Amino acid sequence: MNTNLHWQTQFDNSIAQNANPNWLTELRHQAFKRWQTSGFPTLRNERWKYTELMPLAQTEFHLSKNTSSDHYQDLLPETIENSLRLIFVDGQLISELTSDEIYLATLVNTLKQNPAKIEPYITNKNSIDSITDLNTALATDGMVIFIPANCNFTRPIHLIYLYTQIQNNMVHMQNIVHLAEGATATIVEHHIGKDDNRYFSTSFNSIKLEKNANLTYYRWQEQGSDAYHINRTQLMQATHSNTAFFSFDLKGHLVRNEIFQEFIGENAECKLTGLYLGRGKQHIDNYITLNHAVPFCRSEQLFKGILDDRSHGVFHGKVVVSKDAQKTDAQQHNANLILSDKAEIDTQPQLEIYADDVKCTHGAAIGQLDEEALFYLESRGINADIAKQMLIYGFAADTLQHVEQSTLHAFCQTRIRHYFPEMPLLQDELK
Amino acid sequence: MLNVKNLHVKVEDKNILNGIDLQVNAGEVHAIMGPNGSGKSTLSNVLAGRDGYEITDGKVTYLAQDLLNMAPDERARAGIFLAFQYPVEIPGVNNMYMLKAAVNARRKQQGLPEVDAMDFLAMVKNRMRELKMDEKYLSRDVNSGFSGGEKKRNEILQMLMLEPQLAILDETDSGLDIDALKVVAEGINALRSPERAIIMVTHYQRLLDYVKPDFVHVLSEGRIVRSGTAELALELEKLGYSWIAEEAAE
Repeated sequence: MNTNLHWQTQFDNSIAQNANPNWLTELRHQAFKRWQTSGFPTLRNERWKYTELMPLAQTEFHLSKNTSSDHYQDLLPETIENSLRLIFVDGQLISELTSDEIYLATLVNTLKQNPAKIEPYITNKNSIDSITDLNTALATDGMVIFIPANCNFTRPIHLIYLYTQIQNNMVHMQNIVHLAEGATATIVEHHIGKDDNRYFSTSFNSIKLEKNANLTYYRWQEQGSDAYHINRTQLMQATHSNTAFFSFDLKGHLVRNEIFQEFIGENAECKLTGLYLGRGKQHIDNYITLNHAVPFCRSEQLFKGILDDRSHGVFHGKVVVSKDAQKTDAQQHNANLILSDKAEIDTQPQLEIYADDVKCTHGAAIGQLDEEALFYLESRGINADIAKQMLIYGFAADTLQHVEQSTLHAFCQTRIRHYFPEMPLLQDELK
Repeated sequence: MLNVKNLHVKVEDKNILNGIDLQVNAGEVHAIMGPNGSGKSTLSNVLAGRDGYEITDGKVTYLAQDLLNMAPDERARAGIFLAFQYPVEIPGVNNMYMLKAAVNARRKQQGLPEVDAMDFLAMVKNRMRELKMDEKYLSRDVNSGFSGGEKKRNEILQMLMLEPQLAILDETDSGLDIDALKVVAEGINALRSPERAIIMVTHYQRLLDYVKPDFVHVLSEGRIVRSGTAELALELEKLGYSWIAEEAAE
């Protein structure tokens, strides 16, 4: 089948199945038209220099049909204490949940009942490349979360996206999060997929924090072993708002994680912590942009990577400090642990500074396991292989030092531990 | 327990140990003293199995086993413990976790079941009290952000929990103030028993005021040039090392 024709069929079916407001249908048509002209970005595109999407372009993916799968139970992650848990299976929410304190609904339901609430988020989506167009054209569902002013919502909202796909399926999601003035929330976005099937998913998040809002956000990517996944988060922060963003890429075949953060109000703070774990032939690409558009903001970025076997990691971290953004404090660091001769990392920490009174640092490090630490553990009777696992785990778990909530800390630790099965499990591990 | 015979060791083509003979029996405490660069730390490291040392001659037997053929972790599980001169920081690995993993590795070797969580915690806390260590160090990462003195106490804590047959203390007294030194010395004395042996490697005599050795050996240019009782250490304190080196040169 002609590739364009194939995508056209997918798109037409999606339009037919979704009774969207006119403005959205129009928007989707425009986006799809652009997508048909440009197709997937190639290596010639500077932004995609290290990530080859050719296999995606050569596969005819089908939009996932209504889910009939009962085979998702074994994919479910541990329960986070006191959390609100929402589970999507292959793009569909399987259990509705509501809250009296906050607005929590699917994109589909919000579009039916209250489209004006989210219209600006969808229409103002930053169209950086054809992947945005693809998502706009095909994403029909996701979560919409609005935390009202001064609401301190203490329950973690755990959004679980499970992928139980048959071969060559695709799912496109769109999430919208808004924290009104003085609101506080914790959100966990969690993608988990079944191994061995090739599937493709995109997940786009639009997040906005108003004045004095506080957001703790966890992004977990544990897609299947043959999964292609593109995640893009647009994060806007107003005056005195505060974000702690954690990003974990632990699985998936080809993964691209993009974060576009922008300070639009003064005295705001953003702490970004990332971990990526590459094994086998995994390809994990983090593309991060922090934009200090206004003065007196603080950003701190730490991304740690562990690359083994023939895996390939990419870190592109750019901090832009605009001309007016005086008194900016921006730190950025990327540290990599390379465990095999065949593993590869392309790291590009970048600073673009147009203001003159700022404090900015950046750096990247690439290293191997610390022999001294290894000997130390061995000299305590710990077998060399286990000692290595402990050190690698330690390097990874170091990213959790800014996780302040103890229940989340325990959850994160447990989740990361799944990737280090050789480490002895002690019944009563302290945090 | 430990028998070192004619041990010759090279580091990067440089001869560091030039024929060490040392016999350590159960129940004994030996002090190995000597000026900087005499080979003290090399000897401790070689006994614990650290990489980077070339053994050109000699033999070391520990409890009837050929020690030099054992991997560092095997040696530890067989009851050898090295308290590091510079304990290593391991971010991300919890102190309590490592301690318990180490104790369980030793117990497994001995055919014992994993340690009971409650008993273990009670025992650790007890030991920490004796060492005047704050309990918060248990939930911290291994040695991460510990001061010099805290690191040394943490070494002694590990030693007390692992209950080694043969403890080798490499400059454990360095960097300790007098109060910390006393606490650490009490910890070492608590380990003394007829079944165990201790080797203290030290530059100064002051630790030996609190832990009285049965034997003192003086190392110079990779050889034991004098052996004696605790009095030898006092002589060294008074006269320094230079006379020994001169005597050895004659």
